[in-house]
Amino acid sequence: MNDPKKTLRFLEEYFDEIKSIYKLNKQNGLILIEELETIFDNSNVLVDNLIEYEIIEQRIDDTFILNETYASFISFLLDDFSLDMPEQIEKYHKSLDSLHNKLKSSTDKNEIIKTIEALNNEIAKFENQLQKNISKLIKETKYIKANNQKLDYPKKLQKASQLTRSYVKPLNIILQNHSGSILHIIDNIIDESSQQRFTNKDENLKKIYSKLYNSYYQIKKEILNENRLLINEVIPLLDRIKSGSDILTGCINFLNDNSSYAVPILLDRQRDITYSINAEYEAQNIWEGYLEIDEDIIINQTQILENVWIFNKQKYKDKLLQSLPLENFYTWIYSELENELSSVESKNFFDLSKLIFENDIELEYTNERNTIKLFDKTVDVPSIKIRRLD
Amino acid sequence: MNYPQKHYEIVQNLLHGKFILQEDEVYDIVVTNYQFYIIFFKEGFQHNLVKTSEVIYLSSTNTNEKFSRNLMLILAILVDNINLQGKDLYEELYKSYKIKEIELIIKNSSYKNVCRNIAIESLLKNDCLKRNIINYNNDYDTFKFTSAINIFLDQAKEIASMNDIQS
Repeated sequence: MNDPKKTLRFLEEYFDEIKSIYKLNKQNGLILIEELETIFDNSNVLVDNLIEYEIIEQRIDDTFILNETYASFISFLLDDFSLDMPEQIEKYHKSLDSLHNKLKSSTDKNEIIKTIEALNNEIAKFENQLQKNISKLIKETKYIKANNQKLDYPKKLQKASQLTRSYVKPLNIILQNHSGSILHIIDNIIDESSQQRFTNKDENLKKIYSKLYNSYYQIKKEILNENRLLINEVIPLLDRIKSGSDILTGCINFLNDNSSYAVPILLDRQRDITYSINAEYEAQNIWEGYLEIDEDIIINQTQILENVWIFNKQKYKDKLLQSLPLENFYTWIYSELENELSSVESKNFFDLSKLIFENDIELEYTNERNTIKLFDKTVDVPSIKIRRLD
Repeated sequence: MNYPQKHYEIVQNLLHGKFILQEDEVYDIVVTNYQFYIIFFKEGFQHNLVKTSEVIYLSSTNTNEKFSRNLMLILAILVDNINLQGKDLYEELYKSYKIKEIELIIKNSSYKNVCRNIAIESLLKNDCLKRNIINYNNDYDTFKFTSAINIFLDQAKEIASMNDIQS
């Protein structure tokens, strides 16, 4: 047995060289003796050390491979994971299932203890690999989302759908709770150990079963949590990229030929009334609508409005009161109208005559009569004196 | 007959072409009385009430779709521009914009010709604001699109899927 500290010191001292070996091994699946010699500058002693510390193993055809333990240790140190294929995770289904069957059928105490130990080891490996893969998936999707490479949507989509197709969906199926899933076997092991930890006659086995129960129970929680991460973080992110890409495609198609496609059907806004605060915008909208129409517009000359006389009772009553006392009411009316109008019509004359019915004046009728010539009529009216009512 | 609460406000808003957003107080009232309002608008006005998880609005076959088409064109140019910058669509569409920025994006777009007859400022400040498609912040003179634009984005997805079938 090698001294562990000596091995670690060797690893530390020659880490750069070992890293090159790790890369070659990853690339080609094997390392040639010539490559080792180049890396270590023809130092046979060092190559022998590598073999002695079991960092590399020599194969029958004189090629070398990196010892798997070191390979995973170095990949851990370098944070150099590639995603495992779902099949590599799925294989635990078989191993856990056969161990579980063995446990159920074993009667020998030693065999039971060994099987439980194997079950614990296997599930730990599975959990470790699962966790590594899910955090890698989260990292990868976040990387696509951050998009530091400034990829456009079609390229992002390509990456995202590759991740979904090869990893996310198969993983999700592995983790879901159905009769063929790993979770189902874990459940069976939990049931079995839970029963045994109470009913087994051997006290020692009771303890071991309860340990198995606890660790599987914890692991089940972990797995559900990992699957939750997958469902809550990775899948929505990938879906979002897919839906963003669809929107982009639709938008570009629409821009290229917008008249060929329908748009959302809405309601026309009701037209606002002219004195509302929106009138200016409405007018502008209508105006813009006409801008595109190319036709002659004829504007008719508007007629000049005539100066129409209106009987404003208050105005004339005030005037009347100011002019009191009057000797002759009707001649006063005529002169008032004459001042304002070019021609005094009977209608105006009679309108203004209504002032005689006002309450706060006193009338005095005389026997005298006058003839007043209006534009359209000649009227015969009595002469009426008016005084202020005291 | 008893009408739902805020019935007047709901009817006025919808008849004026407004989108009722999920965060609006009246959204839940319409959802609770959804069957009533479907019949109310269909029988009384021949309008169809449309409900998504985000908005409620009225649609009518007897309509001039000019506004809808113009807004769709502007959004499509925005989406194209966001993609060219390699940014995330959803994050970018819902951030604050100034109207001048939108006008500049359209001016610099290779698709600017399709928008040449659109009065962008009036479309946003007048129609979109009144229809609840944008929120305007007067202090900063900026606006944000509301979730109402999702019906236009959904339409874009629909267009994309139409072409999948054709090709």
